[in-house]
Amino acid sequence: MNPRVRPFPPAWAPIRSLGLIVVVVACGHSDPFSSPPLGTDQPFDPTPPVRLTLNSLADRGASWLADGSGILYSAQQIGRADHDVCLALLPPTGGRQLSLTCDRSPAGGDSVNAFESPTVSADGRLAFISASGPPMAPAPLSEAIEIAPTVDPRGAARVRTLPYTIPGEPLHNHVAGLHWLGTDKLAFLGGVIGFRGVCPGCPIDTLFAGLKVVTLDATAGSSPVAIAGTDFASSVSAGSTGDEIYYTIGGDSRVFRRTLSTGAVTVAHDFGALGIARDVQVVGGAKMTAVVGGRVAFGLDPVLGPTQRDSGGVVHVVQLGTGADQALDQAGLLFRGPALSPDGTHVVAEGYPLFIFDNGASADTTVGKSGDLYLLGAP
Amino acid sequence: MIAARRGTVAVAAMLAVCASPRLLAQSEGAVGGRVKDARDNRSLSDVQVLLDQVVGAVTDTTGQYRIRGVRPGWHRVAARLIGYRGVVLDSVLVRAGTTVNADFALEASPLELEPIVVTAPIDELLDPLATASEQKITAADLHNLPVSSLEEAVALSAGSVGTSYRGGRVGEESFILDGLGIKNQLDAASGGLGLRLPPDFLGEASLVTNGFSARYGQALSGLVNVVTRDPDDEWRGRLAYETDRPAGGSLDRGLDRLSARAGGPIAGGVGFVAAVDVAGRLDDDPVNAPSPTNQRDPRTSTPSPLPHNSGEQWNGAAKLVVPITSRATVRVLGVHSEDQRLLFDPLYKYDPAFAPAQRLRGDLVSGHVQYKTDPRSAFPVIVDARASRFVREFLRGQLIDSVDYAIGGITGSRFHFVGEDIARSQSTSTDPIPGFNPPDQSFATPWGVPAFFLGGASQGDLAWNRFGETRFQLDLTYGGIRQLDLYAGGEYSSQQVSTWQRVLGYLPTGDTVPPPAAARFSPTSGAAYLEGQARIADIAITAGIRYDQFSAGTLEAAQARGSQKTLSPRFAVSSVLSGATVVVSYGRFTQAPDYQFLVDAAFDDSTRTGRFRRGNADLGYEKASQYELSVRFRPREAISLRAGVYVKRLDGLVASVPLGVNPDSTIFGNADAGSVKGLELLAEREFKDYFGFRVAYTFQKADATSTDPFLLTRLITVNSVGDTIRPAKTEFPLDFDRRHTLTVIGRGKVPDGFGPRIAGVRPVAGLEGSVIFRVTSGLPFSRTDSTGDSLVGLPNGSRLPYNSSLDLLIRRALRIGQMEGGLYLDVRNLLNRQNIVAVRKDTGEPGPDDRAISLMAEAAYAAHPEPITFESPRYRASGDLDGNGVIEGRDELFPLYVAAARDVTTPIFAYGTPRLVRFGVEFLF
Repeated sequence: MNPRVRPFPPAWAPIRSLGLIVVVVACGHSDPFSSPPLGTDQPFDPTPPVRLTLNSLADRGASWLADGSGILYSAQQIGRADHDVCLALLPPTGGRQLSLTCDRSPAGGDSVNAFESPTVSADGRLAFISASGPPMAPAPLSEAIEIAPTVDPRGAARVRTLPYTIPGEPLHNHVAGLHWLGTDKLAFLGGVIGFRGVCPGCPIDTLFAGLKVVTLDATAGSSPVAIAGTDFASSVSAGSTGDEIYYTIGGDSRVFRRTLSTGAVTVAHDFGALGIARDVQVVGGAKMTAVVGGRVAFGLDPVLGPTQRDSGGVVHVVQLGTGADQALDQAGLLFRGPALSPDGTHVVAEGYPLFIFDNGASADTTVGKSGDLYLLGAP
Repeated sequence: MIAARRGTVAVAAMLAVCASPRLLAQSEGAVGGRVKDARDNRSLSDVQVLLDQVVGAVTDTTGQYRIRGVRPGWHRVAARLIGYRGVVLDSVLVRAGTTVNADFALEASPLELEPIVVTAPIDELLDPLATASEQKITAADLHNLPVSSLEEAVALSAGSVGTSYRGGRVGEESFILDGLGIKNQLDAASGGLGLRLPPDFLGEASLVTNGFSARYGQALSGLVNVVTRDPDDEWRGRLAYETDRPAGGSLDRGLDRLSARAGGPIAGGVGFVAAVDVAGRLDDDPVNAPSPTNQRDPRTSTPSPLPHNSGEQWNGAAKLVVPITSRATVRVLGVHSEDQRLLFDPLYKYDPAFAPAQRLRGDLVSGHVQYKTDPRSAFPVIVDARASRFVREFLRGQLIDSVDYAIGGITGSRFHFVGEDIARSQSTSTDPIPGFNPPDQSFATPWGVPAFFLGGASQGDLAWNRFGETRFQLDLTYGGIRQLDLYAGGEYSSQQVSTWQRVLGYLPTGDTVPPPAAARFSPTSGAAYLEGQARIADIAITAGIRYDQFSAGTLEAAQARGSQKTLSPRFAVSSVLSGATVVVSYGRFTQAPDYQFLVDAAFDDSTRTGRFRRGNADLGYEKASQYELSVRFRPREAISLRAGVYVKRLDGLVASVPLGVNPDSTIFGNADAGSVKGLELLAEREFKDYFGFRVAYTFQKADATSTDPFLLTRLITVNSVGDTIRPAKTEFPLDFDRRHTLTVIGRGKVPDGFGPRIAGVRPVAGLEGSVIFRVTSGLPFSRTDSTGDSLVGLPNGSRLPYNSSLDLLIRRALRIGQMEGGLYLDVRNLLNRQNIVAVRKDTGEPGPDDRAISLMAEAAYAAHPEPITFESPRYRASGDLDGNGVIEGRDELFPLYVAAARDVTTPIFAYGTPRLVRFGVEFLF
């Protein structure tokens, strides 16, 4: 028996108490503070040409996400002692980087690590060229083609390490210009890399001699395949299907179209007297962009062989159906690596400033070594 | 007639019949007394004394009886003898560890008459010979006071500073659950027990700070003795929900708490009771820190709740009571607790997902068989056999997934941690832990600059430990010798300890990264005790001795010399002098060291990596000897006064002992010593005539050579030019040396029928309220120079300011149909006082001074003077003073570094809890 006297007197406002329960269950709790939105999708200066980046080091290798919702590019970091080349994602209209990925390895702080030539497939997979090496070394110690299931490179896996050999071909110790061919194959330039000073006492420059257009199945350990007839290729782009590529050849003003399955090659466009064509990129098989003319020279390197030195040129946009060509010339800038947006309305390209040196007796111009990204309207 | 004893005469009479209750099993109480003939005061023998209608004892030739092993709670005690009219005491409150005195005076009656039922309550101060310094907490206290857990209730006791008792370190207490000792022997000094009893499952609890029976060991500073409730004799239950949502704004800390209890008979005398207590709070560690002054700091506009600071607790308990025979009962108890929480880290203020989290889980299953001989037996004995299995597991690290809340701060699912499996397997691999990445400087701060704040990944810390204990305990109580009670017993426990700890998990171990600290060993411990209590006239003498032994059981046997052994005598004399009960006691107490000190410990700080303490499998017992004098008396009927003074000498406390000149080369050793002296005063007016109060004051002075086993000896700056010396091995104030503590508890109730009637209801009538007012002097701390390596002044030579708080509970009963219940409002820190509970050692203030901020900013700017361009996630337009799209140069960058430094050093956890409000509704059925 429990003789405890219950301390609860008779009724009081039961309905009100039930009401309290209902109110309590219905409402949510207060939220804690969170970091305020800090980004913007507006560039610093929207006046054409829209300058997307103000980096004093190199920004390069821009490409669009498959849905046009962002621009991926490689951005060298002035704030990092190792001067890593990180992978950045910009809003399509410019503004603040949506993401910036640098070292993937805890031990990366004492080496130069780079994400180069990022490209995203239609199904959202990211392919890029990774390279790493000690600081101040002229060339990376390791290089590979990697694929990540998303645009986050931290989940990437290597599908091909460098160098590689292809039967009947010289050793390829460097690749560039990575593009997806459909969703299961990659196309790029395979070649050799060398280092030269353009003059006695000048800084060492990196020279890339493209040897062949190469394709690679997007699976680990697959073997690269050299595309016949693409010797001294200077750029490559996917066509309207995974069976079609567009490419340029060093010292040539033409853009070639090739059907991989048949080997049929046609001239897609000839810029003729406008100069050497390179950095070709085609969207949907209908619109093409390329860099033409400008400061480019094709010559014979005593070691690398035929080599094209390129400091940039003029961005052209060509309607492949009609052959209509529009130059997107911008005074004071030379461009490289243009990339058409998926809808073909914009081009993002690396812009290099022209500097004029005038000592009173003579004037000369030179091209800046570090490019920034510019957004150009594509007619 | 019943002799309703009050005052001196009654106390003296009780002395003659009452055994010291401290010798009783702490989970049970006793009823004792004398039965006499009302006409001539002649002692009556062979009187049957019934407890709840079951014969519990038979009086001896002196008329005395004793019913032992009585569960705490209200009981009905009756005396019956042929030829006399029976008497029933209807409301006898038995408390754990005490003997209630119930004397009977029977009137001769040749006729068989209905017994006289007496409902007058027994005086709660019926225990004048209790030698223990014991402060009770009942289930009613938890219900009636603004406290919501047993820990909070115990903290109201005189002599407690949070979970530190009488100046001791945290973990120097022992937890007794239904008579069975439970302790987190692995890391009691720094980790919790891992078990939390749902408050609804509590029968009674007490804090015993001295004079505890030789039956109990493993404690230096006190016992927290908890008795769970037994099933009721009919099905009863309680359902309660409380929240702070209706308060809104900063008072809404995201609290949701649901408590439920049900229990009653099943069949054949078998009873079952179970309770659950589920609570979640989005801000589980609320602070009353001031808002920042910089408007760009998001905490300025939303100072609370803190992000990534939620916590949830799931506690459940169930008990099955099975009477085997009329003299033997089996009790099976199970308790399960889970406590998981996110830990707000200022370094991850803007990337909170990477801040650490932790999970603590505890499980207990215990069985208790009790056998009592027939009360008429010539060999009256009670045998208690207990066995238990306790497992505690702790994890701390980075969560695999973001938290998905179900209701408020409750996720309803267990946290999982990166590398959890590696930790459990106690891997010794030197490789980085998969899933960990190096953290980066946060991109998400309002200041942009790469400094102080981290993001992108956690700091790579991962800790796991598991402690398991199987315990057997046997207790014998023998009452067959007149004026002498004997108690004997022993216990044996087998423990399994596994620990694993890794720092900087994203790096391979090597030169600067210590290897995983892994240990697995199986200590064993045993104890035996013998205790007796004799009564000589008005003097009771208690003497006991306890033998303890433990073996570290390390796999590396060469490290340990063998078992550690210790003897602990306990002694007390109590008597009545001028109406006051006076107790003098001496006790020696020992506890095995936390097993965490037997193994290596790796830890890290912001400036150095790979800090390490070498474990020591040879550690011996930590010891304390305590002398106490206490006086208790009752100046008026409802008022009791208690006073006690004590001196406690601590010895062999674990400390970091230098191995060489390198300050990081240390080993744990029994090198610390100290002393605690104190005065405790307690005045209480029982709740009667609509009000009651309790006032407790504690003065204590606790000194030791060190207060933290991890604490290294620091140099002391002795003059203005910066000369330093090592402090002598003298005693300085302990970290828990709170000199003055005043606690006032008041309760009141508005009489039924009081106040105006509105819409048929008297809203004020029956309103109950209670307040707790606390004033505490500040804890000590050590001042250091700006580097933190040298002390300025003596260790713990400075003090925090006084703290105070006022808590309030208002409760209103209600009835819905046949269901009773109540509404309540619980307000903590009603006046929202901003109590400072910690300060920086370099400034003595919660925050750094301008010089410290400037130094931090200068160092950060020097590390990253590079410009920040417009497209960078670090670009902040407000910092681009010339608007050229680039933040560059000192003029633009340095102010951002200053703001970031000020932000990261904003004192948050230096402040105590703010005003907290909770609304509750409960139903009884």
